[in-house]
Amino acid sequence: MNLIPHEIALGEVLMPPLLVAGALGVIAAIGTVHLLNRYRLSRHFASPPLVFFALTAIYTVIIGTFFIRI
Amino acid sequence: MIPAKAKEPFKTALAMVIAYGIALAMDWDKPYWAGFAVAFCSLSTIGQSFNKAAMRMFGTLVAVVVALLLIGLFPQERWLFMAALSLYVGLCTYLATGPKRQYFWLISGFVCVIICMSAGPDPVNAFDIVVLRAEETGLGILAYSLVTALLWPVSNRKDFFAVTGELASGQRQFCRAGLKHGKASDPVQALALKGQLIQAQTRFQQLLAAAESDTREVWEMRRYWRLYKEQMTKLTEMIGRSSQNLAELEASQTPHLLSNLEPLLDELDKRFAGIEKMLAGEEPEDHPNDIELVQDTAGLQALSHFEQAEVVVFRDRLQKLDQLSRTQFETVQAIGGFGEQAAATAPRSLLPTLQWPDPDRMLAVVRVMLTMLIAYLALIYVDSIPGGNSFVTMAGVFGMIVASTPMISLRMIFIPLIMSVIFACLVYIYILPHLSGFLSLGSLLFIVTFAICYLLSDPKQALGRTLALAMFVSIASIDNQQTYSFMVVATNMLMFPILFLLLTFTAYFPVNLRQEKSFLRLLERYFRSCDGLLSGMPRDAQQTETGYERLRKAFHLREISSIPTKLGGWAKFLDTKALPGTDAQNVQALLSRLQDLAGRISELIEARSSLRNQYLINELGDDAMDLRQNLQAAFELLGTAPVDVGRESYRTRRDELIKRLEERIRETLDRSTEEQVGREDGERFYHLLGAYRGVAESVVGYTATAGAIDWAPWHEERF
Repeated sequence: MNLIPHEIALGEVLMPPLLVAGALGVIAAIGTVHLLNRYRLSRHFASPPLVFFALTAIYTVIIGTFFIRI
Repeated sequence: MIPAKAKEPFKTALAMVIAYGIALAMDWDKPYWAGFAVAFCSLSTIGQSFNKAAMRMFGTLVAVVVALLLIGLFPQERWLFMAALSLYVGLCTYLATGPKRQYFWLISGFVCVIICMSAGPDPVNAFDIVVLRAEETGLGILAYSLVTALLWPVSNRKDFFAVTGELASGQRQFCRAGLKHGKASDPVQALALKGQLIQAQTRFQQLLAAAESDTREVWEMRRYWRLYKEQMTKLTEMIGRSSQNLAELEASQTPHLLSNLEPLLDELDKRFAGIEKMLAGEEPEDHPNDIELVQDTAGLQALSHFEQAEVVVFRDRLQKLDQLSRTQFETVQAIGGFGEQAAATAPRSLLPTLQWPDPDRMLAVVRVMLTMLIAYLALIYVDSIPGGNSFVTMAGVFGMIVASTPMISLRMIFIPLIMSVIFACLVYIYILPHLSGFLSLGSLLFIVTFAICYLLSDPKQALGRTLALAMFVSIASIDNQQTYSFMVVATNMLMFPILFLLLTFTAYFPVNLRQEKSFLRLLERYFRSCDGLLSGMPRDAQQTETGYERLRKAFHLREISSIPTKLGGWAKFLDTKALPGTDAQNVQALLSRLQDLAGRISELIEARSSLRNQYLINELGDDAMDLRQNLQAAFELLGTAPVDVGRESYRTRRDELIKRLEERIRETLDRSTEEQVGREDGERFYHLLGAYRGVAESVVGYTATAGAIDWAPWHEERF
């Protein structure tokens, strides 16, 4: 984790990195659940909504650790 | 010549321009509130619009009073303030999901949130803000009402009288098809006609409310039209029950023993023909004649007791059909001015009856309150959350809208909403700064409003159209002192995805609102209520019901009568791609079976409560209890697994119980005296037997229909 506070700049709009990582994490989770639904793998989960939120958190941490560097 | 499809968008656009023009000319703050009123009032006919406009105005007035009260009661007490506001919004959500004045309560709830969150942090100006809100809303409503009344006015009159004609003709056809006997009978056609009739009745109900606002002749005779609506529902149900009865008689090869059935059916047909003519404005050829049903008493004595029960019940239903059709004829005579006007409605109690709360409405309340609470916590504890107070405002507004229509998936709302947010942001950044003067601004407002209303003119897109217009006016934030800031764009682009994540969370917690899961949950509740009603039937004839038992029975009766309608709402939004082996027609057939079963159970409860002969109850109580318990066991199974009550094994067990009960009845009646079992007691007893048999047959019919659906995918978990 990068300990120096910094922002992500999109043009002249500055955004906190956690927001960007979070947004990408949500998008990745949506894509994953779409595939899980399509191939009927979702039936193996007891509570798919919890899995969705868990996937969001996991992807956010992965993207934040290795790509965006929150 | 303007095409028909463009007329309504033209009127909405013109009303929007007028509302903004007046608000800006008067130098009122926040003219977009007038724009909101126009956006939310734009429906297709005058009556519906006037109705909605009146509800919006009164809802706003009530909301401003409540908002001022809350702000005055809880200054500097943010938690109490939020708790009280959430409770009020919860109450409005409960009432907005009820049968009456839904729009009034919806507006009252979310206008209160809007005012509280804009005036609450600034209590010094609270009164000015609420007065402004009331003024702007009134302006928007007035502008839209005047435009729709003067420019290409559309009323409900034509649609209303078209649907009444359809109903009268539908009832006549249903009666003919349902009461055909022998080789001519066609139960499939009768069921299909019943389904069409029920849909027409729903349309009639909606059009009646609107026609009362915009059609003078309907307004003048409104009490008779409302009576006609009630009579029509009862008559349709009675035709359905009689038809079912006749089908069961034929299936068990039991003769109906009515020598003048054909003359009765001809008389009923003439009455329905007369009703059709009167509704078309013509005098009927004939007036109702009295027909007394004649039954072969000797033939009746030769039948077994269950067969006697079936025949007696069929005769009584035909008598009720005769009475209801005559009353309906007289009501239509009064409406058309072809006869004397008798009393229109039965007196109603002014006070609402005490009932247990509806579980689905309570779920909507919990959902809205949870959404608002989480939004409020985010506002307080998350530093610089996008939108600030507006985040809580939008959480309340959208929370109420999605809670009152839980079957609509959030994806359906999110996509048009985000597209309109993006479009509004582009207009805000690239077009608005170049405009000066009302001529150019008014042209922009007209073009954008016209385009949105024209592209989303399909009735199914009504919610999307309203939200798109609302987002445009909100983001454009047109004002006399116009300012432009990228923060408006950035805030809206960030706020709505976060808001929808919150709404998605409450769509799954505490209860999963996926369409097929909600359908299964309602089905389980339905059968639990069926079980509850049967278990609540008293053993002792003299036992009086306690208050708790009355409430419990009323609750379960309401559940079984309302759940099929709720299931119909959810069925329209089922994801058929995820449910292979499920056909929409089979689902509709299932709902018809549930409605039929609900009717049968209500009849059974009514028949049991009218039986007061303790001698009969004591003698036959154990065997009747076995039959009751058999039904209860079936309901318990059906609640958890829709088709696990195996049709053949259930029918066999039920036939055994009926045979045993039949023998016990024969023994009891053979040895009983006139003092022990009178004639009226005997008839009531046959009604009860017929009702039990009807419920059992209905369960068999339900399992056959449920067997046509593959339920396994319904139980699968999915995202």
